[in-house]
Amino acid sequence: MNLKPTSNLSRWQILVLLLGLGWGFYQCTYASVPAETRVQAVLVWGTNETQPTGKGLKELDTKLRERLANIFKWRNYLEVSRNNGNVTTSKPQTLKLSEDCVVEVKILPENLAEVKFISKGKTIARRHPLGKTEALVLGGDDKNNTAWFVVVSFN
Amino acid sequence: MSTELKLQARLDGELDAREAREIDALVEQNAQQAALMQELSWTKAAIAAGDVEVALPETREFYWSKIARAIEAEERKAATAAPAERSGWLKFFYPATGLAAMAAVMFVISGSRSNDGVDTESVPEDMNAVSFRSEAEKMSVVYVADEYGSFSPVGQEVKNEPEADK
Repeated sequence: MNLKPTSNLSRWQILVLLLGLGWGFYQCTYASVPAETRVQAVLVWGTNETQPTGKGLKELDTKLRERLANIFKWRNYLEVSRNNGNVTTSKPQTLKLSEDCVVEVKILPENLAEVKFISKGKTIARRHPLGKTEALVLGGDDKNNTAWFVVVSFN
Repeated sequence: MSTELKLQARLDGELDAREAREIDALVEQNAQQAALMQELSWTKAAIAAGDVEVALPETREFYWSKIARAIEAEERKAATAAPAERSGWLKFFYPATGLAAMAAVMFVISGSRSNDGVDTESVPEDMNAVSFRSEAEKMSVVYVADEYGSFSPVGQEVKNEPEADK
């Protein structure tokens, strides 16, 4: 009885197979959504006052302060509040930063996060790729030539 | 045609009447040509007597049809040889083109999946926002222009502002 295989893969079929496997490996490695993502939101106030006397203000950690100072014009960056939590594809996370302000984080397919910043009844939404190590900064003007920032980071 | 060949042709009956008369006259006048004619005549008679007739195992039509098929097969083989050489590079070109197209589709799908909807934000209609990226600081920024600070999440007590500034 002849037990040899009756069909042999051509070199092109093998190449196509390898290409498909490589693409699948890429999708699994780099484009897949992690099971759980740690998200942190920091509310920051930017001012030119040298000694702000506001209640509950803290010194912002040096690294984040320098990063903000390299982009924006204010001399001082003070931490108003900080919150963090875990977010999954099935469980969005809501981080409260002040009485009027929350950050909602939802994991989307394709390794994206949808970040909604809600303050005083208004919403800013932004999609952010989780594959990068970039932080998402939402900010705006405030009274007396000051500014607010919400720094959202994922890891 | 030489005299010897004309003698053979005369013997085989292949000359016209005028040439036949000329050869007959030559043979009568020339003893050497007459001897050659005689020898050719004997040779022809000997061959005719000793030649064995071969009987074909198949009919004549079938025998020649086999030859005709063999000739046609040779002609087809010759005709397909040239395209085979020409299609040598096509054997590489077509699969390579297919692979390139497939890789392009995969690349586009992967790229569009990872970038779809990114770098755009939705803001309230009464607000203006600018967005940019800082490669150096690894930050994506959305900044809202709001001169009255009506969107600010930082409370008045935190900023220690007097009530009049509200």
